[in-house]
Amino acid sequence: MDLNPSFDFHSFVLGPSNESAVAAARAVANRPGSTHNPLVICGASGQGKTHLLMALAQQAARRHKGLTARYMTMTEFAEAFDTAVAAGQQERFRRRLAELDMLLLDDVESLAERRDIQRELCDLQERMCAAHRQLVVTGVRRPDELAALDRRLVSCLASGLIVAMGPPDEQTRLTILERCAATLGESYGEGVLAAVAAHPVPSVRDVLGALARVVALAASHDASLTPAIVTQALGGKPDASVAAAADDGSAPRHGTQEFEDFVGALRRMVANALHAERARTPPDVARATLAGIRSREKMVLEWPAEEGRLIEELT
Amino acid sequence: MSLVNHRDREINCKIVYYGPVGSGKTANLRYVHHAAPRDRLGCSVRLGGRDEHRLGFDVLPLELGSLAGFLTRIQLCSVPGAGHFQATRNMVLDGADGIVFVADSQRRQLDANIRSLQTLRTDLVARNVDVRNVPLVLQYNKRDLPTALLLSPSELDAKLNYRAVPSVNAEAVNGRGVFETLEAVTQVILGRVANERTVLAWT
Repeated sequence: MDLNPSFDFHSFVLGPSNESAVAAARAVANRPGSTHNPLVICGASGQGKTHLLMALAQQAARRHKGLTARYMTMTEFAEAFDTAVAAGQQERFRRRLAELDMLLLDDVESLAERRDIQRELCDLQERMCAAHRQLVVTGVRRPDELAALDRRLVSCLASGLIVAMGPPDEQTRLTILERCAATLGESYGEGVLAAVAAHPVPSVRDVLGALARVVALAASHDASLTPAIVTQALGGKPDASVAAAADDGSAPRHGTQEFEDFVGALRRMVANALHAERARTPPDVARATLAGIRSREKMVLEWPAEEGRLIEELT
Repeated sequence: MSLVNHRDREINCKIVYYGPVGSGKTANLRYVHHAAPRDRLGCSVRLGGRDEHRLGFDVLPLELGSLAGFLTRIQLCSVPGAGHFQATRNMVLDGADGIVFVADSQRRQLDANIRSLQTLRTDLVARNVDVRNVPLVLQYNKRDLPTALLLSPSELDAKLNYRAVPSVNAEAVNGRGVFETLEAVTQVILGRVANERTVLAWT
């Protein structure tokens, strides 16, 4: 994956929840391969891990001319390995990665069911660390809290530095919103951004989503943006489901209820479809349907194209 | 293809999730698996061994019980996204009643989406399936990523949705849009039962 040039340290909003991760990333960018190797950055979805990873790579590239760095999601890593295995070129794949100065791998948890790739990653980490080449990995939780990870891989990753990122605090949220407003060239009413920022959310994406909801509600009511509109859009108190997601970013919300809603909708669709089908069925065909036609051959029932031609047997 | 079996009063529906590598096909199935009560799940298959994983597909059968007097089962399958899994894709596509094309909304993945859509067309043609009549829904996944990285739904529609089929925005890893997609594709499939010349297979 190409690095996003807008994801650098200048655009990353620093706060108490991420300062240790940013400090570690800056240290690695300044001295890749010798400071914290491997560096593991943990945090729930939307808290800025990818941004930090790309910022690290870009700063390292600026400071060290000729440095070779590659960013990949773990899914891409696994697919690339599968492709290499299928082509009989796994050793070339391993060598190419191990010869990079810096390898950045996003979302280690996606390897949960791939023990073979976990072993590859473990071997790669050992080769890179021995050659003082930098490995940086991100995940939604600490490696030792990911039950599906192989103990050897957990041990390999724990040999470097593990830093955690948390949900943005109120001041960080406000700074994010102010930067967003400045980028868009928008000016919001007095106290609006502060009111949005006062609403706790688990991630940066949710901060921007909250602002978008407020703007959409104001637009739909043709009203100006005020703190009262913010309360109306976001509620007076934190959303319990959002708070839960802050604790566990991987947990889906209201999943079972969604499933039951889907089954209810499907029941109505099936009833409507069958009703429409029966309404179109000629009475004699309907009787045959109920009786259950059996044949040694596969029978196909078709609507009559012409009178008297109801059933056609296909061989 | 036997969607509605009047003799046994059964509905068996197979929905295939198709798309490029890493677009989120398995994430869709994983969310449905997580959300479904245990008693509604059939025996799901995930081939996870070193060699077997190269087959790389998931199967998630859902036992939905009696709906409108018909015992209803839905089988969700995902095909492997990588180009060299031709045989597996053909096997999974066999007997599909509907297809969800999971597109990666990232700008840089547009070419991969288009290639995968072309591969889908080729796979269907090879199976003598009329691509114009296959119930298809597009899912624009990964809408949770930063806006700067993404194509807008209208841009994706312009590039991918030349048949003007239903499209759904989704964040499959968080579950958003997963059931909306499933509902959309079943609606298209069952719409054919209601509106078109239905062919009933008797076995």
